[in-house]
Amino acid sequence: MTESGDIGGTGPEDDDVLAAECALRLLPPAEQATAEARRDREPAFAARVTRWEMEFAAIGEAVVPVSPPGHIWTRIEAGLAAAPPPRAAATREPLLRRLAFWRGLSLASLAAAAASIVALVVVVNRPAEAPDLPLVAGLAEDDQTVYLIGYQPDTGALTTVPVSISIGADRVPQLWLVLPTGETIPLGILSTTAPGHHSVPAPLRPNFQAGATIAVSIEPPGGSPTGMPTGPIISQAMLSTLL
Amino acid sequence: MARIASGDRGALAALYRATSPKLFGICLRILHDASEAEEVLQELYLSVWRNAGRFDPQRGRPMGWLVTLARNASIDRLRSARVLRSATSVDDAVEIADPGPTPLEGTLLLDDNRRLEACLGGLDALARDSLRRTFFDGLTYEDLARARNSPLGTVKSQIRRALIKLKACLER
Repeated sequence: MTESGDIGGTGPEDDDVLAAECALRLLPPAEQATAEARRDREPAFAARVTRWEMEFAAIGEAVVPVSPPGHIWTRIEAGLAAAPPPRAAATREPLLRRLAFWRGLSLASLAAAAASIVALVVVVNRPAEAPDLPLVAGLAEDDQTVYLIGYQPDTGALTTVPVSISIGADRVPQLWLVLPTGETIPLGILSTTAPGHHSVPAPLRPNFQAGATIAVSIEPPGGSPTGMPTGPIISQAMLSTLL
Repeated sequence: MARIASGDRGALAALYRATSPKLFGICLRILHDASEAEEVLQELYLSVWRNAGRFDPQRGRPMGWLVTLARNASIDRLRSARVLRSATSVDDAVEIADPGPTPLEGTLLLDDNRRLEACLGGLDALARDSLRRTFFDGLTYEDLARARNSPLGTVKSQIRRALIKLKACLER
């Protein structure tokens, strides 16, 4: 009948082997895709694959745990605002409530911050498919928001709102765009007390997308003399849309 | 998971505190690169946030589900990086012999995990090593055959025999 010795058969044992191969992703791409399609279609096969995944997970669970750096959770929290669960997404929380998750904001500073960037984001009620949605990011240090950043793609306007930032008198915070290559581009010196309005040069604007990383470093007065961060980077965050 | 699916950020934070060191350890072990592992970890919890509603408690432990997500996302990243580099990198990758669990790792194994460990121990060394490498290095049958310089058919049938044996042992 069919060739023996290869996948040929369809008995429960063969299915179990295929399920294990699918779980480990041992198969070449085309066969893997076929197996995964079967998983989507056939609950019994899906159960076999999942059972194997749970078994093989034990190999992974045996690794030595390593605590991730604190900024990862900060970034995840920032991402939650951009990616609420489907149910929450349908209800469109008011802007202020969405901003409220940025911990460390007092009510007053929250109101001031929101007022400063609200001009940028009032347009969020445009249909979701509209291009050029404003981007925002909350830069935090040790769970404390230090700056809120708003960016308006149409105009390249970058608004920076200090929330809670204290650094030595002989140092200034400097904002950077971090390219996927790791290269940093200086965006300007930040005030520690007043909102700042910057204009991003046109050639740089294509880099400002949801997911782009911005960072703040501490530099000597006048900013980094080298064009790259020379002092500690106290915070970095990803830009995201509010929707 | 149900609380996360209902939009409870505190529940996600608690899950993160409880599980991120283990998952970060897995991402690091697979990717050997802290910043890559950080990105995978970050995307993973955002994905959990979006997809917690699809987690079916009948299907297994949440930790098993999370480990699978961490492993598969890390392997995806590893494989796309390999495509960007050259095919020889796969061979480089497999030359790093998997040391198996360290004594410390051994002490951390849960009962459930000991069961798999014991059953893996019943396989011949080559098959056991292949399954571990597959888990941590994302090797396919073809990668394994190339790494060993063995015919693809030989490697496949050896692994399949091992999987059948493993299954029988786990069901005992």
